[in-house]
Amino acid sequence: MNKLKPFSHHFVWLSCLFILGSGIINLPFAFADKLTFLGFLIAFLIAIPLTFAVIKLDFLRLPILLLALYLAADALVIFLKFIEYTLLGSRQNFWILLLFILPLIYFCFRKPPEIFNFSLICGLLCGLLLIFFFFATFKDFNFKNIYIYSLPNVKNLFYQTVPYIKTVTLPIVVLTLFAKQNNIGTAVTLSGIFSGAALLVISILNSVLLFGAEMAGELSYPYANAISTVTFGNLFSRLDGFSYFIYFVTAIIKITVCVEVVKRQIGGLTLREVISKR
Amino acid sequence: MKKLFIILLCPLLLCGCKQRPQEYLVTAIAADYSGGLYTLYYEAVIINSETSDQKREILTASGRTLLEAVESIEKQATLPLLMSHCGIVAVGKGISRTKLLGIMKYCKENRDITLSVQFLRTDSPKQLLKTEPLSSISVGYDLVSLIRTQKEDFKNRLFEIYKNPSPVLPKLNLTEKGYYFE
Amino acid sequence: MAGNLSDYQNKFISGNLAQDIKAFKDIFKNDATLRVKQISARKCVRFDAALLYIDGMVDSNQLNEAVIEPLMEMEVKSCYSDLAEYVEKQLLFARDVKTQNDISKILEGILYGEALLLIDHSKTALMLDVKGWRTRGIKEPENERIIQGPREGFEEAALLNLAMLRRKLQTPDLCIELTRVGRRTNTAVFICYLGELVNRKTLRKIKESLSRINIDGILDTNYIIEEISPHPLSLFKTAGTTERPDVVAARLLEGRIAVIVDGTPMVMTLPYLFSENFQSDEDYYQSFWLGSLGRIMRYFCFLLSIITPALFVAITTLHPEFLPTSFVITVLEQRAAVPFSIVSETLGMILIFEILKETGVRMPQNIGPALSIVGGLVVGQAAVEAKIISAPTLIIVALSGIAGLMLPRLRAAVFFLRFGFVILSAFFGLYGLFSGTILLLMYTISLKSYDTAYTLELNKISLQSLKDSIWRAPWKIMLSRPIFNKNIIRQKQK
Repeated sequence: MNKLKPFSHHFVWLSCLFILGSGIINLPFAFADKLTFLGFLIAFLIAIPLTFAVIKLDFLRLPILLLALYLAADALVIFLKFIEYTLLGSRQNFWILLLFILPLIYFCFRKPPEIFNFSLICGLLCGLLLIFFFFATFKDFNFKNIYIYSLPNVKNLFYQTVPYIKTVTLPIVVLTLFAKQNNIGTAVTLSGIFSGAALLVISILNSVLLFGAEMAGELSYPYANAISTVTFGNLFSRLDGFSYFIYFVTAIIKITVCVEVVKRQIGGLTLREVISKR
Repeated sequence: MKKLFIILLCPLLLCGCKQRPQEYLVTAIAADYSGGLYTLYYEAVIINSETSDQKREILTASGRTLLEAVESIEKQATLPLLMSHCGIVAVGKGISRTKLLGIMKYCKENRDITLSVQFLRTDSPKQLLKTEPLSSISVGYDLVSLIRTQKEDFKNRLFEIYKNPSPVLPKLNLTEKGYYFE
Repeated sequence: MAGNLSDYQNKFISGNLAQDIKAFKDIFKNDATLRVKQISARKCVRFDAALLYIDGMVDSNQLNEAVIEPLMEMEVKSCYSDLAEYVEKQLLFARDVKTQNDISKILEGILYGEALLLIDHSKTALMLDVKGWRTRGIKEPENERIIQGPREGFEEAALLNLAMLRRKLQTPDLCIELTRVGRRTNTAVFICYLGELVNRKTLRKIKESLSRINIDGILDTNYIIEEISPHPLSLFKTAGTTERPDVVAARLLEGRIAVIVDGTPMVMTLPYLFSENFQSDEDYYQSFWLGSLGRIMRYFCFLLSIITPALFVAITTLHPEFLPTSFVITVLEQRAAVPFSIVSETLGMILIFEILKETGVRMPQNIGPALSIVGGLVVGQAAVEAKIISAPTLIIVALSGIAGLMLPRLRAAVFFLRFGFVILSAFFGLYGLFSGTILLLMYTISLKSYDTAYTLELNKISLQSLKDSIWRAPWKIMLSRPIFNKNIIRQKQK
């Protein structure tokens, strides 16, 4: 018998997409070096006690609301910049914005079970793609790119950790509040967080093992560049189109979840209900 | 709300369906340095829109800096350049390690050129691009296919050599029968 | 007949034969098919009656042998005070005889093929079930052909359809409720379900929806579907339709509700799930390997059909870097000198394919081969050679069209989605395509079919909920019914 609450499995996939969020687009950040994974780990470990704090303490909700709004706006900006870059600037920014905003508005009108079901399908797809590309690029990996030959400098470690606070720690905090609002158990919440972090690590590893942390940090979109190196004979040589799909889905889920957290806190109403009440 | 959606979507109908303009499909880049000047060669394939014949052109330009040479070649080209199919960058004897780094940096920053573009060394880049391709397409395409058939992994892709302080590029030799790697 | 049945409610027959005959003749004054047969018993001086029926709706032989002849030979026994009761219970050989005096009910019966027997000095008339209208005969449905399995199909007469269903479900639990819909057609609509399995809330909702229909006439199931559907504008069907009794029986066994409309072989079943669009009746009559393979192919063909043209347009227009060099050059060579943009070419080809498909369905069969040759030669060869269209576009659209033919239940959705995606891709490349795909996915997830989620299998992820979705599990492990059903267990292993 399945003792988990409804949508528990779905939440795990949603958290994978949420944590991948906009981080997968441009991590590792500029000025990353070999300590980048240590920085990631520290940022992740900071998130765990914060997760428990969010579950137990109610007064943290207001700052998390503001944080959710900030993360939503940040994800939107990052993703729109990516679309503009890859469409070669041949389309006006307004239409690019519209292309993303319209589905986003539609998603904001959906109820959480629908968002969960959507995340299940897309999360599975994205997870499979991430793992597939990881193994497809395996033959080109240079494992020396992640060896740390000397003890880390604390100041350097600090600078490596700070960017991950924004892309890893803070989203995990918002995700925990979302889980609490939807009655997701602590164990499932933690499973989701760990799964999401694992997938994010895979994507960062992909680019770091291929290019090295410094070069990956210099690139605007390291993961897309990593996928573009995958070739299967003469026929399949540029597969970074799949990364566009991953980015689209992760960005839309991240923003939708952030908006959902805000609207549930404000009135506990869906957007449709708010508009119809007027 | 529905009306707002419809109003926002209506202008889409006015955008029109664009045809992709005719372009030069750049399949290989060659670079050399002599007499204080960078010389760039682009191998470009163009399809005649009326006869559907395929034609290969070698665009050449020089400049005191690499950027100058690139700008010059872009001005010279009568059609836009599509760099995303460039698979080969051949550098001549005059390109030293520091100059190679400049070329690599240019390729890395050009968003169309992939990081898996292959670098190789040759005595005469100009001669290389002017040879007749073995396939019907281009020398660049030939070389990419040739490299794939080699048993040895050259590790000469841009992302493999970029951070390497002393990259070793495979040397390509031209003969009457074709080209081969040393 | 003048007016509606409702105009005659609370009106009763008078008992005076001449008056009653005149009344019915007035009601049917513009109807040349009404027949009135006056009967007087030879061996009795007291018995006068009249038989009224619609010509063509009754079985003449049965009428003669079971009704007219016994009446003519009747001997009235003097102890009977109510002649109608004597005739009803002791005389007639008709299979069903009911007493009735309400004129609206009498008219309903006559219009449905029953005969009316009016007896002089009796305020009770007799309705005789002598229905005998001609039917098409049981044939295999054209649009639901299978290689292995039953070949029966429903036909227009609802009672015969119910009989076919009865033969499949020989259980007293099969409930059949009659209601009439349509102000002027008064169409008989039968709601069928298995009492122990049905969701009572859904059943109540359907009955309420049917009672709320206020339309002149119901001539086909689709009228009802569009009238009662919670998503009438949806591209995807939210009610199932079939012409096969075995399919209806299978769906009833899963706890669904069937609505049989008189006058059409198409039967509606509710609720309807998205995964049913990809099911074929044969999936259950062949081995699960074949069934599963077929089903996976249908899902694949659905994606292929709606995405391939859009992907082709997106990549060739805005993302040529994703194509291999040799392929790009081939496409450019083929497209050179074609006057149309790739988008207009693709959209035009999609339209032409649909036109050819529709023409193939509608035209007489003896012209079919000729049209195929014309379509193939003209569109396929001549147009490409004349550089009006390019070969890659033709191949992509043909592939997409053929893949779409695998899914007859999604014809409309596939066409409009294909079109929509191509337009999105034309403007926004891959982002347009992804945007459309994501919107489509979310839209499908948010649809409901009578309070049941359209993608119900996703709500609870388990082997049992997925056993009959993307694949068809072996019968041994299909232990439970779909989870909208309260009675979950379908079978137990001994």
